[in-house]
Amino acid sequence: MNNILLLIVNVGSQGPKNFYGDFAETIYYSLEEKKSWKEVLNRIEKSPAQWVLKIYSNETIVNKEWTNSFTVYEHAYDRLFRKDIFLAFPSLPNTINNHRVPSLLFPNLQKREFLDNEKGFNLTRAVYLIEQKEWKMAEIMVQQESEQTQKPELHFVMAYIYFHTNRFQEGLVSINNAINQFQENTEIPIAEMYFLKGKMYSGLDESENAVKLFQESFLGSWKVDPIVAWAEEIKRLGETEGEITSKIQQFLRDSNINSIEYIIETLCGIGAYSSAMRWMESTTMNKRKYECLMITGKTVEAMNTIQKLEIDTPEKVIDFVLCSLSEGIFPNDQQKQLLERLDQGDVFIELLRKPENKLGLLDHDRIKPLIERLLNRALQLKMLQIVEKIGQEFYDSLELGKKLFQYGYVMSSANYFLDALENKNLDLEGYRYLGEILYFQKNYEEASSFFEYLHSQSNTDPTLRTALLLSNLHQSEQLLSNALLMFPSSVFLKEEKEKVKKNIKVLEKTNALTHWTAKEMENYNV
Amino acid sequence: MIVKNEEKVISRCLNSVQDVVDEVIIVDTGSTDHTIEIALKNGAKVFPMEWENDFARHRNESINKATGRWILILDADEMFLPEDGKQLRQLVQENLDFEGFVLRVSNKFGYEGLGLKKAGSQVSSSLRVFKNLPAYRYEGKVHEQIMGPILNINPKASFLYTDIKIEHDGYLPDVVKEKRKSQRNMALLKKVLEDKPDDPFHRYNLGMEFIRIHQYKQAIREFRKAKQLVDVKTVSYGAILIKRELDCLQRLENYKEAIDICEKALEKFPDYTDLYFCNGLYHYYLQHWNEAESYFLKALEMGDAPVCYSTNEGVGTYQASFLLGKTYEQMNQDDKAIVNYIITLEIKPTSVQPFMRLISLIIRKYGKDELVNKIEGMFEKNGLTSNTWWSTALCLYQLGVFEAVVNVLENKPVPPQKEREKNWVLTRCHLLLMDADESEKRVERYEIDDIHKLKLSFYLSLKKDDAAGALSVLNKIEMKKEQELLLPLYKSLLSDEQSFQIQNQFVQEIPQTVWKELIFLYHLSQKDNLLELKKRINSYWRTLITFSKNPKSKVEGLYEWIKATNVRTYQLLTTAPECLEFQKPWRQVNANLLTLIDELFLGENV
Repeated sequence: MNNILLLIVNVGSQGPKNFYGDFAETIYYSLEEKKSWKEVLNRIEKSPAQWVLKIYSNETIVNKEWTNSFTVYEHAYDRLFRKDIFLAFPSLPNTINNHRVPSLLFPNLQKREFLDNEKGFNLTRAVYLIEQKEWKMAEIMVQQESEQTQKPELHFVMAYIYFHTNRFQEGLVSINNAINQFQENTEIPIAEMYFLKGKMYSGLDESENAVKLFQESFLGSWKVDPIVAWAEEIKRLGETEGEITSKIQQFLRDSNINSIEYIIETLCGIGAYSSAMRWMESTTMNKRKYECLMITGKTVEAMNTIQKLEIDTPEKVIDFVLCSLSEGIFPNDQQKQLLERLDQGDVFIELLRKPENKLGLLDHDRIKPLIERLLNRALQLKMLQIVEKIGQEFYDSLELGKKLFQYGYVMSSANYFLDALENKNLDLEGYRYLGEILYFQKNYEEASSFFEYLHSQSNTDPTLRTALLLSNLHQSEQLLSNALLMFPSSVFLKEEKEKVKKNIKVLEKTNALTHWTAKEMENYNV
Repeated sequence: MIVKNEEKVISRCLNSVQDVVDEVIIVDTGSTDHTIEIALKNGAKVFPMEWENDFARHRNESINKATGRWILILDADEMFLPEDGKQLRQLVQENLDFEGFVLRVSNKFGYEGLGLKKAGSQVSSSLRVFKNLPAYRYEGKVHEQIMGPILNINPKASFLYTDIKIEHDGYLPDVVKEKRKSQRNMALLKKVLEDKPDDPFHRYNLGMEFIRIHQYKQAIREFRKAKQLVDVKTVSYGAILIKRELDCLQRLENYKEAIDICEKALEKFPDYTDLYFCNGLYHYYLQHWNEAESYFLKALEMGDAPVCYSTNEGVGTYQASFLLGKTYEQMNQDDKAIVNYIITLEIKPTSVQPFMRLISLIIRKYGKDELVNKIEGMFEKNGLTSNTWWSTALCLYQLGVFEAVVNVLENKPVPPQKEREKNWVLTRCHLLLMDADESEKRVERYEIDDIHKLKLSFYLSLKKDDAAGALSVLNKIEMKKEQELLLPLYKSLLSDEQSFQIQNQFVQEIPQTVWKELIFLYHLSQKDNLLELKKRINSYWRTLITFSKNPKSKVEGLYEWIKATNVRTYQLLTTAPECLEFQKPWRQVNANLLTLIDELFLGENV
């Protein structure tokens, strides 16, 4: 535990009751206690701990017996962050997990309801409710407080709630209030406000305004995310990689920014790895370079690049192992020694030593967390051969299908789901994904059957209901198009088609169906 | 009257003037059917004459044979409604100082190609009654005229403009086709224009003939030539010339140009309601809701056009209020839309479209539980009839709000002749609302005839997923002749084969019963989550659409399918639990969902 810093976000009026002496350090954070987010970050920065675990004061860790090897937990648990990642969060709301598929909560975490005497307002509690997706309760709480005090943070959180509940117009009003009331000591950076406002405009299909706001946000934060959002926005409108690059280049030039790293990061951010590689030739961005080499299938070159680097981080170890697995190369003595010194290094060596058809002979329980890491990274790097090689040993069709789907390999995942369906092994989640695949393939009638079946099993999931609505609306649109072919002058049919299209657009904006980022979209047909 | 092969309509015409005129003179230009026989049987004097490509000449011949003091000119495809006929005779007797009487000719029009339906009527003024004086004779080989010649002889002649209406369906497309009037007229006009190429009236008439054969660009060309040749303000057909040009632009979906022409025309004819209405309509098509609203309001404020204009019925009243309602729907101003649909229904109570839209809106706005109260409140002053409740129930059935149908039919009166039908509708609703056992018990109390009892057993077997049971009932249904249209459908639901047997007669036309049954089965399979059954229903549906050679049937099949899908969408929206994340988009979708409209091909008309 001495490698973890525990951050307890206070959501009650009485403060936390438990003290956890085993952690490297414990920080209590409450906006109401005038402790600023910057102070929190400063303390974290100074701490020797390499990991940050966030919990809320109404939660209790009941069992502390878990492994010290945190590498395996990263990306698996919502609340455990690598220190450098955590330090990049400009405010508390940024730490909210918005994973597409809810990932695991930290193990052995118990929560209790708020006590009656804790009903008063607490901004951090609103953040907690948002994280739990308790939108209505969060909204009521923020609204009640807004009636009494005017704080830019409140407006920001309100806008955040509006954004995630698909109410973009209302969200714009709130975010404008937040921006207008912004002061130097406001907890939420102005760049974050611009970023959210840009996303709000994007939701309203006002791309021009969205782009302006993303630019503002970038100039206020120097972070690449808003630029990637800008690139995604215009890519969605059909602009090519070349057009996107030249627009961003022009903008950077006009803003007197000479770094081409932003362009490279943006191109990687939208999955344009080959273009990014061309820009990289003149730089020393080695990590990005070998990543791009791996993604574009040049594993030998990637291996050479990695070997020139110091394999000093868990990611580099994983990437090195992936290259070795891909090329069937066993590490030399020097590399072997290096691996042995690392967390779980012996397991990696064992894995690399086994010929591929003997992978199954390894100790599954011991190796599974590592395999999980390898598989996730291989999916990130588009190394589907590796995914299949190790995936088929350690996962069944359904699990592998889900993994592939979640990383955007929609067409590759379909076969695994169909296999599971044939073997009567498809669970409800698998049905859902298969339904979505049929939907993405424009087979709306079949998609609707899958969703109807799921709806008959449980009708409380609003995203499923929306998916069903969407597949029905698409069927209507197809039927109207067919009718219009026969009766092209019918104003009535045209009017109806227009309305159906409008409805589809409204529902597609809700992301009830899996939403792919531009980068993930590149994996669709892989 | 001049006639040729009018056996289908002449009797209707002659009956309508039985108490209006003292003698009927008919010039027959070569009928080969029973026209002459029917005319003689109805007491007309018939004079055969060879057709000489000259309408005026034949008209004048018929006038020469007349012995009365007044002449009434009619065509065989025209008629008086009883009240109008009586009124005409009285009016003439009381106004002997006038040289003639201008009547209102109501021309029915509709679409061709996908089945004939009456879409509306356009009313124009025409001098049809005038003194029987030797000097008063027609001129013009085609589209003959009488007012001009009378004024030439007697410039002080005055005419009484009346509201008396002649009903005319000669321009309904299939009638036009049958008689090949257009070709005949066109040939005559082209010949005349060879001699007088600068005659604007003939240009106008040629344009009209192009409209009848759907050649709108050519029609516009002729109208524009006519406009260049004459100041439209100075001729009686000036306003209608512009109106027809606008009609063509509308058909070509060139709304922006139509708006420009409308604006300019309004400077010349500021009291012509049709122009405001049309302007509103074009703005509506272009989704300029605010402009559409203001033009429809203006049309309503002005009322129908003065009698000197040729006008479309209702443009200053019920048509404008209906479209205003639709505009408000688009502007999400449901309250105003409701008010305007009610106004439309007050003016034209038998109108289906505003009624359906009204019911949809009430449900959307107030929910199905409030429907009965709201309807009672809205129609309080006019009194609610059993017919209104029956129509309400049918609308609700189409909307898929089956609980509300049961509520209305079980608690409100329906016309006595609909009692049995009511029981069958109720039976079907319960099947769509409950599971097999519950619905079986529930429908026991409804009295239904034997064939429906069999069908009920069939449906219940389907609901229970009992193919053997369904098959055994199907054998009994097979013996009843009245279900033969539906038998192949029922069989296809129970057969594992991929191909279907579809009746040959469906190539030409698929009856509504088949679509209605498919919709019912679609909802039934939905209710009981019978996915395989639904798949088979969809396959049969798709095959029918593909198999039919009749475009009207194809479009109807598609449309009914859209309705079925949308009803499911509607059900999903109205049964959704509260959820902040999706509340707003769901509400938006519900507001935009297909409204109940049965008149697929005539969506715009009341």
